[in-house]
Amino acid sequence: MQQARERGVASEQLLLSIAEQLKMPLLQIARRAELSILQDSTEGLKEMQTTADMAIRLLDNYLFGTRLALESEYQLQMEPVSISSILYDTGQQLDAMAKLYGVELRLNLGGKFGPVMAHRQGLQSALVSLGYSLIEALPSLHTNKADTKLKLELAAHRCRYGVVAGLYSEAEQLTAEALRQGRKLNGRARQPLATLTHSSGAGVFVADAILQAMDAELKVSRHHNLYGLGTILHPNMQIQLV
Amino acid sequence: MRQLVTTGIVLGRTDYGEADRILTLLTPDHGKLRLMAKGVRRIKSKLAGGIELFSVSDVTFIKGKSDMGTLASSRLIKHYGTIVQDINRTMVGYDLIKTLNKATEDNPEAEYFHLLEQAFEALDDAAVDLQLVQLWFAIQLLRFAGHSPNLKTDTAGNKLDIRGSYDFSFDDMAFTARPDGHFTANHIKFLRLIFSGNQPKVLQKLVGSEQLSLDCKALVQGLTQSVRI
Amino acid sequence: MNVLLIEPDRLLVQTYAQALERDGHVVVVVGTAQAAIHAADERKPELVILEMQLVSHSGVEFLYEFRSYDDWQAIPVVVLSQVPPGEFIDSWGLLQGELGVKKYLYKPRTKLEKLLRTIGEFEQVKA
Repeated sequence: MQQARERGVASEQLLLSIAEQLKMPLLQIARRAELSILQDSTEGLKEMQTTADMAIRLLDNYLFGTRLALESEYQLQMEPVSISSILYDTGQQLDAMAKLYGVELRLNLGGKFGPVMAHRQGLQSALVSLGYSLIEALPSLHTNKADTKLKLELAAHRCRYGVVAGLYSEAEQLTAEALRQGRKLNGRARQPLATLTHSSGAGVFVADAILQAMDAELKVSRHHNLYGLGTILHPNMQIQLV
Repeated sequence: MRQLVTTGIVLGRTDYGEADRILTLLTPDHGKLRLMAKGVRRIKSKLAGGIELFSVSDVTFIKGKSDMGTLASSRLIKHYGTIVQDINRTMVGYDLIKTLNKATEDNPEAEYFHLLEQAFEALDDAAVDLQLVQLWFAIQLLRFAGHSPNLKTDTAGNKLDIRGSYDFSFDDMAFTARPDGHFTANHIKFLRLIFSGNQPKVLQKLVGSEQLSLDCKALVQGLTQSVRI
Repeated sequence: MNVLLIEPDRLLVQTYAQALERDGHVVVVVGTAQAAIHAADERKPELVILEMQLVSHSGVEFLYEFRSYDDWQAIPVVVLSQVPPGEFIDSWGLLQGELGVKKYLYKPRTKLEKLLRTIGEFEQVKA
């Protein structure tokens, strides 16, 4: 009973922060449209289309994440998936938006990875939600280095426990402490991740919820000299046995 | 010229001349201390640490012949970093500083310093409700100024009834028994706990503290206004 | 007018800046409170447009710092924020008084046209 209540509160918080997050793309589109009308031009149509598409995609991911948080019996079918294909698809979904924000997306798959066990849609949704939050946040995190290009790297690397797949950047503000504090403040503050982003950071918490439902965990991770968020995936032992 | 050390919380800053600033600090031993910080103004990077807002520092200053000392050095003891990460908390924190500044003359007792420090502690804790901190703070100011209402007996002189309902009379600074009163025994017990100086962290643990805070807000605002703190 | 626009979102900032420029204003754009202090130091603005919800240091911290300098005391600040004004209702006096917020515009309810009209009013006052 207590668990059910807690889950109810958790999903209420998730929904609130999602609603807050989705105001942004709508606001961006509305104001851009108004500007185009003022200028009597069709400039900005591409931008609006990109933003609208991203918002729809996010909404899909957020709804999926909320359903997982709400329904404890929601069984996720794990299957062998290719990390590189998931990261590649994530990149495809984020690319247009990244360009608008001046963020260069890079795919970095140092080494070959065998298939890992994951729920494809879940992992994809988590990474896209996470990616969007980071893209939105990056421009403000790099104000001191005005001339360096903003980069977001989709990467995977081996670790002791399996393969870590995640998103990485030069933002040193991405610390374990920030994530820990964020989880504590989620639902209690407008900006649970205030040191990372000006927004509500809903994408991070949606990714958190989805990964938890997959018995995985969103963790702060380092990749070469970059800082990021990722999750540990486990190789598909069956195929290896064969 | 003597060098003195004290602990302080910055209440405000103003410019002086070309490159100097005057800091007003709340201290336990020297009340409100005004110190000249020389040559700091061109370094407009104060936000870098956010250090002046919601911090307790040890300051070393030189007391000259005039009213104002000169800041020699300062060492940060504690910075309540969580407060500035939340815009509502920042706003409330700043408001409390301003309220305390207005409510006190030049030489407030040490208890005001400790009050502000405790307020920062409470604000820094995400688990403590903001309304509760605001209510608690306003009540401590009333208490220090000697304006506590009667929370033991009602206006008819009877002990407050656990099943009764009451409204508050500002003229009598006490509760009056009323059939459809807005306040119950729970509210009065809650107020008693706050007026006895319990900390917000402790009060937060009470069941329904957030609702009780909300219910008592108007009452305490009325008290504050009626005694013109 | 020389306007300092403090807006963290890359897409929104471009839209707002273009609208202001089209209306004849000279706009300096920054995304954080720290950058805003530096920008104001480099070139004194005639008006500041401020989003309250920023990364790391909020608009409140910015105002606290901004208003502590004599030569910036008189510069009007117009808040254009996603934080509903109701959230600051308890501190409204402080916001309008010491922090010097002349107008509070709530983003979802503020079209570009309203923003430009509001900024325009300050220009007339200046003249």
